[in-house]
Amino acid sequence: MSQQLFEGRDDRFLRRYDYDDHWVVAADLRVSDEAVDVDIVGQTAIIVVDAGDRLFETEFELPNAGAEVFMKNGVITITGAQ
Amino acid sequence: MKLTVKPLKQKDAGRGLAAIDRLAAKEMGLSGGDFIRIEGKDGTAIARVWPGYPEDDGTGVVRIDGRLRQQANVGIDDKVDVDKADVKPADEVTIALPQNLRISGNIGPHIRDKLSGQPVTQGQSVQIPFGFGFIASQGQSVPLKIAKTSPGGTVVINDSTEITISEKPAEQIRGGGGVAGSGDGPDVTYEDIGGLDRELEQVREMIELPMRHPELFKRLGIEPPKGVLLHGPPGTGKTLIAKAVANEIDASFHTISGPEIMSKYYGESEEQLREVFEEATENAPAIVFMDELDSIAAKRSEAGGDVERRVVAQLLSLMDGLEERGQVVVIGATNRVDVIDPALRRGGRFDREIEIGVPDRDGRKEILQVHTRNMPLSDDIDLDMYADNTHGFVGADLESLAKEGAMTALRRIRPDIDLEADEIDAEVLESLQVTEDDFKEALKGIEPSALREVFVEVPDVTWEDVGGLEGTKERLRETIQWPLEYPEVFQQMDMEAAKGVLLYGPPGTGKTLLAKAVANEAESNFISIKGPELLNKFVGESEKGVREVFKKARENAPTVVFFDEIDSIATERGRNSNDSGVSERVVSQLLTELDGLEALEDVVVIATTNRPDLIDSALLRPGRLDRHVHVPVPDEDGRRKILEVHTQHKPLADSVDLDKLARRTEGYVGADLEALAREASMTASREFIRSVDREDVAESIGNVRVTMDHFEQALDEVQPSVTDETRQRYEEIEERFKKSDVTKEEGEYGRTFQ
Repeated sequence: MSQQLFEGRDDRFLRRYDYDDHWVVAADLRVSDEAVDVDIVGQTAIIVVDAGDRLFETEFELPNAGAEVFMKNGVITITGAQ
Repeated sequence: MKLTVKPLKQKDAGRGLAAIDRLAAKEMGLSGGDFIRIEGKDGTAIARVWPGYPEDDGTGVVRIDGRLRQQANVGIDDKVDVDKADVKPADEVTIALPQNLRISGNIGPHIRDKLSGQPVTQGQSVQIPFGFGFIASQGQSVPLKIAKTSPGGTVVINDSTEITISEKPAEQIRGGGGVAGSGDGPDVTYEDIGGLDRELEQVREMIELPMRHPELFKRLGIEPPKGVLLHGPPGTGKTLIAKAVANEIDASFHTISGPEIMSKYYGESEEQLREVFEEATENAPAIVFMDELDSIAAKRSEAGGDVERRVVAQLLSLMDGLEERGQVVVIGATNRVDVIDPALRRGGRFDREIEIGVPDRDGRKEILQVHTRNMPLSDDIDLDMYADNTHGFVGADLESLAKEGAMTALRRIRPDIDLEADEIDAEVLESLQVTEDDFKEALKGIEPSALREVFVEVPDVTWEDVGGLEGTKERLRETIQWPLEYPEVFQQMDMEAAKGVLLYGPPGTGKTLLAKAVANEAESNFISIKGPELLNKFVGESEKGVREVFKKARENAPTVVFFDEIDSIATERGRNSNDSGVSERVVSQLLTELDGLEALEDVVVIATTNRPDLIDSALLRPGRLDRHVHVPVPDEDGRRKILEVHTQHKPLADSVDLDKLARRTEGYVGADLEALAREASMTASREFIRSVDREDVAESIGNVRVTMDHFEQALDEVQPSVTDETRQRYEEIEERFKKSDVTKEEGEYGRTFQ
């Protein structure tokens, strides 16, 4: 059971939580759901945020492939089995 | 569903998130980002769901930060009703800015960006990090108030919401429901305190538990503890804890600020004390906070005049006299706990004494996170690195580090700002960011307050700057760095880290240089004592100096204490009684500090000397300075390396052959070789300056080379400083140290017991 922060980006951005049977990666973005696009390619997650005049993109590694993405009210939740 | 309230981790605070444990979330059918309503006894808050922490699984816990707790009017460990909230998207929201805020340009879109996705309701105060949050009070972001929403009730702002700025300033808008920010009292929550989790737990347990659940104590048949004394170095967070407790608890808060109560009339100071306590008793449950306690509660035997003594006496009887105190908890804060009258420090008055010490690395990281929460940091700032580098920094130092970093960023932007204009352009504000360079600049200017008297500038010498001496370097690394890097190994092998290292050898071989490298490379604080600087003309002061040094070392562990030329203060006892016996007492004090009744944890002592034979043998036995490292006159290999180090940055001609020089400099020590290199450079410079005109110097300086001839000339000038006999003597000493007992032979140095 561990919790990790992702380096590189502002460390308030992403959190990862490891539970017994699955892991969760969560991010809190302060934009509306339509402006965010999350893609999972294999083991990499790519997040593209369209903040009106700026396009902001980040990607990071997930523990394993086959993850599910939920997005609501600015909170992105990516879950996958351990 | 009913859940228990717990605090959120510092770094997640301030975003309106509620971390609900996974199982409860599943039961209620919540997923990340859903809006929930948190209902306390009399107050509601809206938050977004965040994945629960793994350690909370199945505990029925909802973690919310201080602001949400205030909105819902609940405290930690309270039970609240958590339900999914039905939040409508907003069509139009009117926002009121605070009176003293001046921004030009259309900030509607900026506010919409920042608030997008957040639930708001009429009368609610929202905090916006506007990119200059550090200018606003208490390091929080700018507080805006929601004047009106359409439709009414709780709405969420999205991209299509229209934001209008209200005419009236924020202070004039009255709240609907769920207003954040208390009336009087400071706005500090538990999340704003970093690195003090254990101490905070202790304080909270003493204060919150009796107030919330007096039945527990009734059942146990005891009176809960009612006094706690917080003590520690200045700037560590004692007053901050009191502020947070005052904010989070529903008790009335009264402060006595040291000399505030003192008055020139007889009896009035005591009366003021009585008044405060009476008021507190009337408004029970109450907390009385006495800041800077040592100014009014000093020891009666040492106190200046009658007034101080009477004040202390009054305090004693108020806290535990004939009358019962009722549900009044007293918190005292002081820097100097030894000065407090001992009658106050017993059970019944100040039952608990909690030391708020200098934070360790994790504590420093948390504190930095708290202070940079609302700062727009650039990507390359790594708070871990700053937490590593800031040894001896307390909370206040880290706060000023963050503030200075931000001010440096502001200074950078200042040319772009037109200070004459009334309002600052919103674009400029948005672009304001604190970069890595700003932080580095700020770090240079801040001195750690805990180490203020003994702070030494850490020199810029690394292990590579020390030529040769590989074995010695390894030994030092083992002694000093390994215990910090591999604590598990030491624990498993049941080893104690070595307490001290004695570096001895002929003068000029690099002992102090090694110590400089250690200071730089060790991940600990560094205190250096240069020779006899501890000696003082007053009787007893020199010993006190030794005690002070070790006390500071203990407080700021892990520390490396460096005694340079220790033979000046640690001579053999009983040798001569010409001087007043000071050195004997200093030696005794050193002996007890190094290995006496009190343990010396996480402190390593390095001592250097040219005369190890003079040092008292009790200091050299195992348990004290047990590692004796001979720093010898370098051999050819060592000399080559030293020459390399000293000629690294010099412009050498190709004809310079360092091997040959190393061969020819038999008997030279490190300092001699440095002098050699310097002499050669000097000769070269002499030639150059004599041959070239003043004006051409700057241009042709690049062509100067130090040739073998210059070195030849320098060899004639610089002679080896250590003679063969000296070298022999040191080797004999090394032999002697290698034997198990450290007794010196009689006769050679004329030592007899007197």
